[in-house]
Formats: sequence, C-alpha cells, structure tokens
Amino acid sequence: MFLVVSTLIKLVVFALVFALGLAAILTWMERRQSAYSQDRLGPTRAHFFKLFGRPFVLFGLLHIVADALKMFFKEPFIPKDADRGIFRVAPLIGFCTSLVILALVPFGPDLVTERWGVIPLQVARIDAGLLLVLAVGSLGVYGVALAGWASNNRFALLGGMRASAQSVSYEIALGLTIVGVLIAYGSTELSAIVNAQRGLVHGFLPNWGIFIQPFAAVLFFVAATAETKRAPFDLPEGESEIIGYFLEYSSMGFGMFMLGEFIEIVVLSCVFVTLFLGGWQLPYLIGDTSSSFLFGSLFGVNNSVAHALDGMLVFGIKVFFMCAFQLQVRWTLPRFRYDQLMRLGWKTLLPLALANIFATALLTWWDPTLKILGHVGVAMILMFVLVVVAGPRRVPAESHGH
Amino acid sequence: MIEIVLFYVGAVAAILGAAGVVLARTPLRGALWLIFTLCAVAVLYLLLEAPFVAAMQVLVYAGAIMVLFVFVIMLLNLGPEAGARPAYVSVAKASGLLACVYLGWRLVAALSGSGQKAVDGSVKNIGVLLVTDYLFAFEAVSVLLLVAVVGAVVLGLRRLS
Repeated sequence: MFLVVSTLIKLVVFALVFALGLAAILTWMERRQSAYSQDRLGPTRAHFFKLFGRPFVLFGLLHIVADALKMFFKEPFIPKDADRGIFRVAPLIGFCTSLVILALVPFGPDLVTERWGVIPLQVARIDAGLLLVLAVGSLGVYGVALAGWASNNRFALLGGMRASAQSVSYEIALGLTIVGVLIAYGSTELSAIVNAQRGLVHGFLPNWGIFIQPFAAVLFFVAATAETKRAPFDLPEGESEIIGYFLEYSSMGFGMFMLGEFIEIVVLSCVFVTLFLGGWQLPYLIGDTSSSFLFGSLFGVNNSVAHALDGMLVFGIKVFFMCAFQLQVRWTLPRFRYDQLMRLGWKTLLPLALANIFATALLTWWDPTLKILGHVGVAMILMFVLVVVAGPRRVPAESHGH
Repeated sequence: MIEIVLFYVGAVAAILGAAGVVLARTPLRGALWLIFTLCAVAVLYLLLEAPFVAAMQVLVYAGAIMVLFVFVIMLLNLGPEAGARPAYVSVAKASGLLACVYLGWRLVAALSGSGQKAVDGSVKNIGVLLVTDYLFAFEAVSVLLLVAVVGAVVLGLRRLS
C-alpha cells in the first residue's frame, strides 16, 4: 500500500506539477524569448484587474491562463468523413508517451528514512530503463501519423507522413548515440547511470557524460531535437508555409499538440540531463548520500531529506537550463530542406554515431576507469571550441545594387 | 497484491486488444488494436521481471514493425471490408476457435505445476548469454537480416531501372 501511495505522490509531484508546470511556463517563455530576439515585447496584455491604476500583467504570465481558457472554450471541430475515434485519440498518444518516459527518470537522490526505508526519487526503477525510454519514445510517432491520417485531409496526411519518416529516421541515430553512454557507464538503468557520473576524473573534471562522451552528447541532442519536431527540424508542421499534420485540429485537440511539444522539450531535457549532465548531482558539492549544501545549511541539518531537496533543486535548474537552450536553438537556426534533413540523419549522424560506439568501446576496454575517455573528451571539446572561435568565417556576400 | 492487480489489468487489456484485432472492420483499426495488445503484453513481461524483453517488444514490434504496417495501410488507403463473405469463413472461424481452445488447454497443462524457476532476465545477463552461449545463433540471425536488407535494396533498384 505504501508503495502505491508513494509512487502516486512521486508521479503527481514530478510528472504533473514539475513537468506540466514547466511546460506551461515554457509556452510563455518561448513567446517572450522569440519576441526579444525579434526586437518585440511579446505578450504583455492579459490581465484580470488593475493594481495601483495599472493593469496587473505579471510580465505576461497571465497569458498562460488566457491561452488555456481560449483553448477550452473554442469549438472542437471534427471534419466530415474524418475517422472520429482516431481523430480524438491521436492528440493524446504523444502526450501520454512523453509522460510515461518521465516515470523512468530519477529526479533526486534516494531518500533514506527510518520509518519507510529507502525511497528512490524515481517512479519506476527498471533494469532496462534506458531501452524503455527509447521504446516508449518510438510510440510517439503514432500520435502524429494518425492525426494526419484521421483528418481525412491530404495536406494533413502528407504532414503526418513527413513527421513519421523524420522520427523513424532519427530514432536510429538516437538509439546508436546512447550506446556510447551505455558502454562508458556500464548500465541501462537511469539512476545507475546518474550514480556512475559521480566523482571526478583527474581530480577536477566531473565524470559527466558531456565530458566523457561529448560527441555522443552533440549527436544525441541533434537527433532528439529532430524527434521533438522543433526548428530547425520543424518540417512536419512548418506552421508558416507548408501545412502540418494538425491542420484540422482546433480547440483543445490543437492545444494538446502544442502543449505536447513543450512537454517533449521538458522530457528531452530530463533525459539529456540524466545521461550527460550528471542528473541531480552537483560536482564538488553534492554527490554522496548525506552531504548537502543549500537546504542543509539553511536549516542547520545534514540529513537525507535536505540532501534530496538539494538534488531535486539542482536537477530542476539543469532541466530549466536545457529547456531555455532549446528555445534559443529554435529562434536561432533556420529550417532544413527535406533532402538536407534526410541526408543529415542517414549520412552524417548514423556513421558518426557508429564511429563513436567503436571509439568508446576501444577506449573503455583499454582503460575501464574512463581516464583516457576523459582525456579524449576534453580534447574534443577544446577542438570544438577552437573550430568555432578560430575557424574560417564566411564573409557575407555583398549585395548587388539594391 | 499490487502485482496481481496489474497482472489482471494487463491480461484483460491484452485479451480485449486481441479481440479488437479480430473484430475490427477497417485494417487500420485492426493494426492499432494489435499495437495496443503488444503494449499490454509488454506490461506482463515487466511483471515477470523481464524488462529487456518488455523494452524490445515495444521498441521492435510496436515501435518499428507496426509503424511500417500502419504506413502501408495508410498509403494504400485500405477501406473497410466490402461485400458478402465467402462461405468458408465461418468454417475457418470455428476451426480457429477449436485450435485456440486446444492450444490453451495444452499450455495450461504444460505450465501448471512444472515448478519452472524464473531466470535472470536482466539486460546484462541476456547480453552475456547472447555473446557466449548463443553467439552462433545471434550472428546467424544478424547475417540473415543483412541478407534481407541487401535483397530489399536489390529489388528496389530493379524496379527503379
């Protein structure tokens, strides 16, 4: 009974409060951030009352409420000849699969209590956790494909086909990039991967995936961004020019697709933080089972609860940073062409991921303490930086007589 | 306690899904019910402490093979079955039901009281077994898949030219 109750509490706190709340805030963040990058102000008007004679807008945060109300009270329109059942279910599929993935992600260190024993801050600790993340993620494609098909609209069907082809292609690269991490940390269970990232390589470098496997981190991020169907991989929707799979959806059906996209951002951030950024751990400060720095010193205690609170805070901050980074990517890069998209997936990411597996296996076999892998990783990061800083600049071509 | 509840939820879902596959009028709905059944069976694998099998079931069958099925059904735009069914269908149905009952009876007889111990279904154990005891079978299967891929490419190229 205790197991059921604690699992439900964890689900509600992590999946519903943290992930859904963050996704809702992200809808506002994206609008504000896109506004700033285009020299606008963004949404700052919605308000219910006036405070000191001025509308109480709260930085535009009330637009989240206004948007939700608008979505709920619009007419849910179903086209004639559409497959009504599938049309209604399709928006739920992507939404649910994203939430299921969250159940596998550890969001804090184990809570050691006297009364109830050890409570893992992870909804489901399953041996094949990472494989299940991939498996459940691969089901998300049905939501998109079925939405396009059930609409009984050729443009929606084409959008759904583009989306499925894209996610099927990038799933392969996604699965292969993860193999390098599995080899280095020797487990498919997500909390074991987080624990393996504890400690320092050479006494100063955190044992994080991004330092041990920088190449895999970049490849994973690219492939996962393609899976979330966001710019520069937003061909399935292409909301400004070509028409996407949710063409026929209105009101909350469309709302589910939109919110689902933001939940996917949160989920991708959670998985990325778990695999490559040390999960809930903060190097030099928290990592062991008892040490705590923020809540512990605030309340003058050094116990498991303070430690767990610290871990959750660190995890939340890391996830928030990754979300903000994804928003920045969307408003920085232009969209790919479809042939470029396919070429990148099959002819660039796939061979590079295979090469990464080969190199990682070789270096881990040579030195299981991951020291050499750390050397190579740091060298690679330095090379990335060098290429970006000192690489050849393309001078913009002069405009001809405008 | 909780395992029993989850088992019955998964088992009933699997049976209902399987019935849905048979009874669905449109091919696409049949395929969707099949995906549902596969996921429900994956839940049962999880309860049997075989997480790797569960993950592979969803990843390979529900997430990859069935995607292709659904793709083909969508592209061919198959509608519901039309027209009267031929007479042999009812005979086929009856014999299918008989075979089903017989198979269930044999399965229960074979499995009940056999005292089969659970094997270690962890990813590590399966991985070790695959590259030691079952190495030849594993490599043979991968060669078979390679042959299939090459064959598909050859067939595709022939149709192009």
